[in-house]
Amino acid sequence: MNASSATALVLRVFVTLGILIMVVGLLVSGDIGNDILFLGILVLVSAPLLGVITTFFALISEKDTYWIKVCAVLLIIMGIGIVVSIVW
Amino acid sequence: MDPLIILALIGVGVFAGIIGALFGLGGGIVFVPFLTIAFGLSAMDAAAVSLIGIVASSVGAASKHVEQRRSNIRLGLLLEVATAIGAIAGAFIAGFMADWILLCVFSAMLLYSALHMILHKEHITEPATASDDPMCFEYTDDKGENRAYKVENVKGGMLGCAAAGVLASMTGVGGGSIKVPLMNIYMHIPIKLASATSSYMIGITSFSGAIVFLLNGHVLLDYAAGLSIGAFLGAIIGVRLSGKLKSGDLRKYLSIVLIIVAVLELLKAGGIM
Repeated sequence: MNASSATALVLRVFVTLGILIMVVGLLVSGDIGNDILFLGILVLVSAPLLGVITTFFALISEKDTYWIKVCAVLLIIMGIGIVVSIVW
Repeated sequence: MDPLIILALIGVGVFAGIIGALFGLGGGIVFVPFLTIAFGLSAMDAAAVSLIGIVASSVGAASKHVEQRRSNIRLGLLLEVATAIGAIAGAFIAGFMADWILLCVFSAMLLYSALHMILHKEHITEPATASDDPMCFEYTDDKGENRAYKVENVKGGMLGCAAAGVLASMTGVGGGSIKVPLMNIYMHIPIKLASATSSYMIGITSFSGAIVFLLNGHVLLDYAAGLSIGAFLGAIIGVRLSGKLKSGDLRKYLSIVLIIVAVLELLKAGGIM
């Protein structure tokens, strides 16, 4: 499986899963419903990061050195972005 | 929550999702005014809910675009490095520059891009020979034929994306509406690939903000869920429409959207909106 196919699969699985969990959450009332909604949104929001991580490992398996470095730099910057968002 | 409000949120999400997937825009330009004016949310609540909707729209579109090889994930990663650095820089310099100046510059850039797209045909550079250049890629054109293209002005394009990141971080606008014309006009990437690649990038850009808002408990969960479900459905519709549109038509419609966005941002800069 190449980088594009692997990334597309991970994005599709997590966005669909997140949306399905959210639909269930909207149908359930009370605190349990809110917990389910939180889980669904968390799964959805995590999809882009998981997509980049998947791309990174797919590029490693393709031995595509130039783009492995680019992807690694992006993962580091995403980490810095989260820290800055929390601290700021 | 009232089922009618959920249905209304899904409707807004579908509309923004279609626009987002077609043109590679995040959808924030649609989400935020609707959430504040029609649903009465505060600016902070609207921003948090909007970010979740943007992730749903962009990831929903990107999952299809990447599968169909329209999103260039390699180029997206490279330009996202610049965008993310710009966004972090923007967070630090936000206190030192007035928003209205940035919004005026942003609007001028959008109007220039729209006019350029209306007056000039799309220019794609085909590599002279097959090479190991990491900036040479393949795509399928409107006629279904496989063609090669070479990404030009990479350093300048990265600077432009960094500027888009600064702007997005400081004003909450500017992600896709700057990057798509930049990729198409300046870097000579086919419009369908530029908008699809932008969709892929916007999900990554929005991730940091969205996860922090969510974990800090700033997201109205039921609003975010309704909007996200609609945005996801809209993104699927938008990807299908995008496949049927010709590149020339997509550029024409994008120009109109850019002019509308520019006018809205000028009104915001003038304190009218």
